[in-house]
Amino acid sequence: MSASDIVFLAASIVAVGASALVVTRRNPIYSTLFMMAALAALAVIFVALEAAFLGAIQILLYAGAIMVLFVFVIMLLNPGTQELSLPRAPAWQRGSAFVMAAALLVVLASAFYRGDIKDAPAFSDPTLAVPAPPPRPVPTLEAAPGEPPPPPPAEFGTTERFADSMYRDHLVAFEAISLVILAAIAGVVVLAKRRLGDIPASARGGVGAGAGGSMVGAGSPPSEADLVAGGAPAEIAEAGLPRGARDVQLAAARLRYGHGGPSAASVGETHKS
Amino acid sequence: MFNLTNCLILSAVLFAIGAYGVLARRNLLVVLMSVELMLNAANLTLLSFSRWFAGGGAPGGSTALAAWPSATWVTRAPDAGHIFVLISMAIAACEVAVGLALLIALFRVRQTVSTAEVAELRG
Repeated sequence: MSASDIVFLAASIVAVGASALVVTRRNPIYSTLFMMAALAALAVIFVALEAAFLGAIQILLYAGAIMVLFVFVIMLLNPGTQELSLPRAPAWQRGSAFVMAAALLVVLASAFYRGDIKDAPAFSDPTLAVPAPPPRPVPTLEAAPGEPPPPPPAEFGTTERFADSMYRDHLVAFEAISLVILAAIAGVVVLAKRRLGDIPASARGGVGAGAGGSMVGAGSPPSEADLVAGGAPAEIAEAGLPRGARDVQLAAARLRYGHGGPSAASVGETHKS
Repeated sequence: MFNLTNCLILSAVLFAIGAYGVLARRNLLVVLMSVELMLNAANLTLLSFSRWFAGGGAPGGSTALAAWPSATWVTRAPDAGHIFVLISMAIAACEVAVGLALLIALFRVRQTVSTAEVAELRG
């Protein structure tokens, strides 16, 4: 058993175990943490597969950006424990899901055990050594026919080789991806805006649940007259909060909108955005 | 141990675990994470085959690749699998961003992240 075998075995065990924990933990915070572990183990396997650049991107993009986005959303929603850790699905649903996933695994594994890849040699086998890539012509107009060919690109999987391939052969795909990301940004901004149209209060579930107090308070800001007169703003009053929580919210609203604060119109603008 | 078959088996196991999470879990956050897991399994498959073909495929030359007439892309762009994986990661980031924005909008309206309570379109 060579070193790469040991690395692969350890990373596989970590990845499979952490993935199993991701889909079985009830609290999504724990799922997020185990997902990070699984992604890190997969990054190790990527590096072992001569894709060091993508391993680094895996850590940066997945564990560093996407999973942190999950954590941010969990903190932003700030749900109560019973809203976050939902009850499990009924046993027959979980059982049938397990059966279907197992059937999928059997189909995939049997497909992989057929054909020419059945008795694959290890990647460390010398016959599978990555050859040096052939030199490629420079696709510029200035390339005179008599010039010597450019130096061959660097080794397989390095950042240099990757960039060469991406910006020379796959430039259109790269630009298309930037368009997709731009569209996603626009969609996210629209979807996650503070006010999603004018949803009537009767259509909102669980308004008086108490735990949703911060969400309910997202209506129109209290006018200055209300605050000066000392009366509780309507949103805070009808949220049904206990006395102490209402006082805290009222004090916060006074601090925000009280003496010397911006005018009511500008407050409404900043609050909305 | 560390060969193409085992890498593919590992990706199949991860994909099946992700499929189980999508099917069995009710928490939308965990469902999104399971989708990410399945995408990562597909990425692992792409990278395994990329490594395999970069090394020339099976020794002896009697591979399916050699019998494949349109296999010149492997010699022309041996690391196309890496590009696929990078693009798939970018798409995954977009998908997560949009999915989480939908989740926020849903939670704002319904105060829940459970798929069981959002069943208006159920047939």
